[in-house]
Amino acid sequence: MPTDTNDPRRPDRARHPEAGPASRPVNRPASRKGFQKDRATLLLLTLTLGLGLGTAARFVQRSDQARTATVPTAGTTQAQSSASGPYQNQRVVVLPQRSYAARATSRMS
Amino acid sequence: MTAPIAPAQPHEATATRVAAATARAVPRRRLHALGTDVAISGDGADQAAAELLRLEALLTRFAPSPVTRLNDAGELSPAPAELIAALRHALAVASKTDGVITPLVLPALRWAGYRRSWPAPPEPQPGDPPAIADWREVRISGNRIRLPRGGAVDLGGTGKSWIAQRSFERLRGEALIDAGGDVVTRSGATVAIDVAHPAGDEPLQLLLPAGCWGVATSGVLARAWRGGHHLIDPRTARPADTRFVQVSAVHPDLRHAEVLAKLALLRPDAAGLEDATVLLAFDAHGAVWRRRDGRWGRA
Repeated sequence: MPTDTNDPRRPDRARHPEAGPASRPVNRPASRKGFQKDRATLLLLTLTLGLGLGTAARFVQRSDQARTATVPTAGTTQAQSSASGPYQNQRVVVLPQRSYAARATSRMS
Repeated sequence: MTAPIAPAQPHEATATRVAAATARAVPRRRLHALGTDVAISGDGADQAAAELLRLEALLTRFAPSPVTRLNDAGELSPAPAELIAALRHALAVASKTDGVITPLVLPALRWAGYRRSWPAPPEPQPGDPPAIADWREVRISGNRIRLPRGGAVDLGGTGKSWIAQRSFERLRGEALIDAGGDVVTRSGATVAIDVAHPAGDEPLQLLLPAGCWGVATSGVLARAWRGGHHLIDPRTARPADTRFVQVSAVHPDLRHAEVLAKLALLRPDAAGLEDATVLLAFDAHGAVWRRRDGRWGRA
């Protein structure tokens, strides 16, 4: 039986990634490429940046910080984009590995 | 200590790895532009693709364009409004970054070997690199642009995201543009974006709340060759010797995300990096770092 209840690859974690950040580093198999993998890199990183809508709420909402996000619309202006205010209450979640079908991959090009 | 990550081969660096999309954003267009593979999703994809190609034709340095005419003559009049706008953006970035990201790096880029559209073989030049002209001496008056002596423009540092963001404005509703890894998206629900590992290992994944987001990744292992790469340090006019090999930035505006990723590579402790919603970096040994509260820490 797996003992790591924080492993986001577990099916139940995949459905509920915001069950809470890992209370301890998760176990992860050694990289196949042999890179040094600090266990800390596997922490679920929850940045204090706020809350999305719809599915986002299901993913990232925590009752103690739940707020309605200010959602930028098409043609976001420079002022809106550079202002951190609306986004200070948003939280972008960084997962240690792919857990959902990704829309795209950000990479060097 | 593990072996440092080696530069990717050109075909690896340019390979697209767009994962399966959700059914939210249709129709889709794929095209080769900006020296990379571009994917566009959303209503208005055809118009966005046409705009992207139009802007590329105006701003490229790899084919005859207003930019090449400007560089050849040192001045251009009348200059297209799009070139003036893109150059003003690049100069604003240069001002904000104290010249760390400047559009006048082209002579140094050519000296380093990046003379033709990637992945053409690099052609490094002997001797010392040419000095980088002062970006503050670029003059824009009306529709006339004049460059300082020895100055030549390359908009690669800011142009791709500028073009992608402008093209994105042609899309309606839920939409996404993936410009070879620089991603801009708008969604009413959470969007998952992978951040590629520089050596192809397991990616990190960002879950972006509903809204508009830009995710940009910059690194020194793509568009790289033996002894050089495309990211010039204006202090030395040579390919930068960087602490990290790859940095990804998240910002509501892709143009800012691209600048923040490059700035973090060139000056990992520069002022202004806190504008990023998220900054993630890989070092040469594959370790992941994240900037938070004004400092880098292992993620």
